[in-house]
Amino acid sequence: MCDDAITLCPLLRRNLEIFKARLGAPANADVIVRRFRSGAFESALLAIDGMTDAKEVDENILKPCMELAETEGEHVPPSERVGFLMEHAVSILPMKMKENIDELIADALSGQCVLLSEGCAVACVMDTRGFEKRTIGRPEAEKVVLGPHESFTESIRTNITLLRRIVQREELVTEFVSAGGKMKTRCALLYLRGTADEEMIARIRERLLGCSYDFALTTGEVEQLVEEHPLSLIPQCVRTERPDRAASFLAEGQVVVLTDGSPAALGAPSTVFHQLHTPDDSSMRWQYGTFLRLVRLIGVLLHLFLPGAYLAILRFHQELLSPMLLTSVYETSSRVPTPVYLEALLMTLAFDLISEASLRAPGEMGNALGIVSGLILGQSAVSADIVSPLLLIVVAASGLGGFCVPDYGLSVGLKLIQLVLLTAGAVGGLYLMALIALCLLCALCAMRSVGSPLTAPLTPRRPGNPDILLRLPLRFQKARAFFAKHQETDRRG
Amino acid sequence: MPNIRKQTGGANPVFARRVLASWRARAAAAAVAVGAQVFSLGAGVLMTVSLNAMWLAALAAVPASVLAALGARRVLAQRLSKGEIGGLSRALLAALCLTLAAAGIFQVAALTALSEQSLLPQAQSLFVALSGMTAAALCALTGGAGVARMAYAVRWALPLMLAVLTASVLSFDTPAGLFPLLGTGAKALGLSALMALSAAAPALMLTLPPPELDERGQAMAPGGWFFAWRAGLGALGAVLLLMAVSLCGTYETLSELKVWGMRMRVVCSGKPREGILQTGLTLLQLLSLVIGASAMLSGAEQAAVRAFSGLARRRLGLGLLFLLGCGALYALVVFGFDIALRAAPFLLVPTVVLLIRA
Repeated sequence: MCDDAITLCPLLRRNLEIFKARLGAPANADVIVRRFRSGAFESALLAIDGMTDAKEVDENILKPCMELAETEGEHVPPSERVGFLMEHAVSILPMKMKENIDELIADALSGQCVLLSEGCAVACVMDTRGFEKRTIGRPEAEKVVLGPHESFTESIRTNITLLRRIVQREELVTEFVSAGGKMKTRCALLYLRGTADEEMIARIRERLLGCSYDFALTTGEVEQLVEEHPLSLIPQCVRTERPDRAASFLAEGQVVVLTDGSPAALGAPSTVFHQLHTPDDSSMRWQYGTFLRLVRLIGVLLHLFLPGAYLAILRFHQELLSPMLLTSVYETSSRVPTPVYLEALLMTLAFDLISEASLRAPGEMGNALGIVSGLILGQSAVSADIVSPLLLIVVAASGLGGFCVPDYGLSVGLKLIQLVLLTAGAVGGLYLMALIALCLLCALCAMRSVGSPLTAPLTPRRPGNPDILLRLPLRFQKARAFFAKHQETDRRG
Repeated sequence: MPNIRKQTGGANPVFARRVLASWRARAAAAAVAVGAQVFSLGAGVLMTVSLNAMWLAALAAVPASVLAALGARRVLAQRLSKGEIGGLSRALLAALCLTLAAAGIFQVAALTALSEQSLLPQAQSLFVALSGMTAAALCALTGGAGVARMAYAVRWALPLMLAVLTASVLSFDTPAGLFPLLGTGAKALGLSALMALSAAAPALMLTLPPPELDERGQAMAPGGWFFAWRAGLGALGAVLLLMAVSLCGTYETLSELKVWGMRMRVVCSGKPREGILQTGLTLLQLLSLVIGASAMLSGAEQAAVRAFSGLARRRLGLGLLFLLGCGALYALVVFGFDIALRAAPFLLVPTVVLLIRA
């Protein structure tokens, strides 16, 4: 039994040797193996330095065990010694009895303590995690004018607490799933029992468990595991760093996936309309929310089609411009040394370059970089006849439209589609642009997110919450989303 | 809905709703395809024969589409959804495949003629035709579900915007179209009406269940009128578009148009190449034609896979149809699009013959 090294054996020394060998101790300085006398028998504690709360371990495990009188526990059968210590000495709440060595090592590596005793082939795992973590801050990518201002952190436990504080319902279930090959990442599946579809939950769980990659997973990688169309430019799950938004996902019947070490939650399944919604839409009165959504939609359309349409009109459909404007455009274009397609492509890429540089530059330097690049360089480029002013306006308006997209992943996908449409406009005018746009829309309509259509409930038609493009008054939003198990149930009930 | 609910025994309303949504999308695709076919045929064939009376002749396509949809549902939906199909059904499916493929290629030819006259006069016909065919095939690559859902999404917006733009670009100065029979007479009108019957060909795609439904869902289908009124409305929308042109164009203008593309341009607008509205109208018609063509191609692929089990390998049928379409379009570009116009009225014949025998 001791040699197969799968489960514990009654010999404490042998068990500790296995743990030390597996964890590389004593060369591995982080491994703590503390042997001590606990009453009439010997025990040991296994932990990883820095991952546990040392004070809690000292006061609630070591001290009470070592203070037991030498005669205490002498009549306890050896196989029940760990249980005896848990009953008479240790004062820690979450505890589990385990005998599998792999599981015990995984628990120790996640910051928990493993208590072993001489003669006992079972160990107790105690949650004493106490590593340093960031405090709850403000959301960076999902800022709102109204509504709460707290965001998720890197600690999965804190994130679950944040969600539970909002969703105080007995139906809220948290399932832990370890995803990955040798290096496992702890993910939490949260859903409302009876509201979320079981088939959907099983599908997400299966995909996470099927992951065999040997690297630390982040929310972005979990998203790639869950999605069904890896070649698509449109995200198939909705990501948020706001607990209030994640709570609204749960109420809708979605499954929320939290990943240890990532300050974001993933909502699945989702629709393409989820990607265009912001928490402010719900916080505001319905008229304002609807107006802002329409503005956002116009922004997306401008972002996608404006540069391509500009090129198409200039090259193939000059009749759409007035003679005065056409003359002015040609006059300025004639001074520019590059062909109009190349000019537009370079300008679009330059805009993306500025945007990326501003994002990566530290702190306030990012804002300054944006102003310097946008204003000074743009103005200088026009004065030097490197770009035409109308194109500058087109690219800037299109770029502004891109910033209206609330989801960062979606905005990058739309940038790529914008480049495709730009090229189509230059090669085949509005004709080719229309064809490509239709192909992309058809592909979008055929896509699924964890089994549910990405463009529903618009097409195919599904009953449920009509919160799609327009933000209707709350009294019209009684039903849950179409993918929930029971759409008819009042969301407030 | 009640029909499908009855078929599921009311036990699984969510499943019934999903099946119905798939059929709705399928019917919307058929409606757009019928409308696009009536539009292409009206501008291509009917206008040359009956001039301003073309809309009156095209009206025959409305009952033909309704009948085709009813027939498709009644005769075939149950029969072809079964696992094993007989020899006659196989022949019928093969004929259906050819009819739908020909209708799809006809619509790509129509969008080529339209585009090279209005949107891309500078481009080569072959480029326009092949890019149109590629787009239709790419849309069909989604297995028919993507196109059908797209058609469902635009089922009201597309005709509404077409109506608004048509109303805004046409000039209603000439009242000649108010008396359509003056130009040609009853004989030409009758001949045109006979030709217009063939525009019902796309409605036959309703014989095939939506591809995304599993075996359980395929056995369930709404009643015949569920499809019939949708197909009829699609045809009626195109007739109204032709009617607007008839009411606005003079006999002289229409009779002098020798090229199909030019005739289609007139169908787009009484004032060709004038501003954003007219371009918008052309783009909307282009979108209808591509949706129609890709719905036809995906239907043809589905029929081919059912008729010939050897084509069951993923996308082989569609690949063959794409090659067939490219070849046909190349021939049309070389020999002229009028060949397609003359062949179009015969689209329906083989399928109807087999349909009656079945």
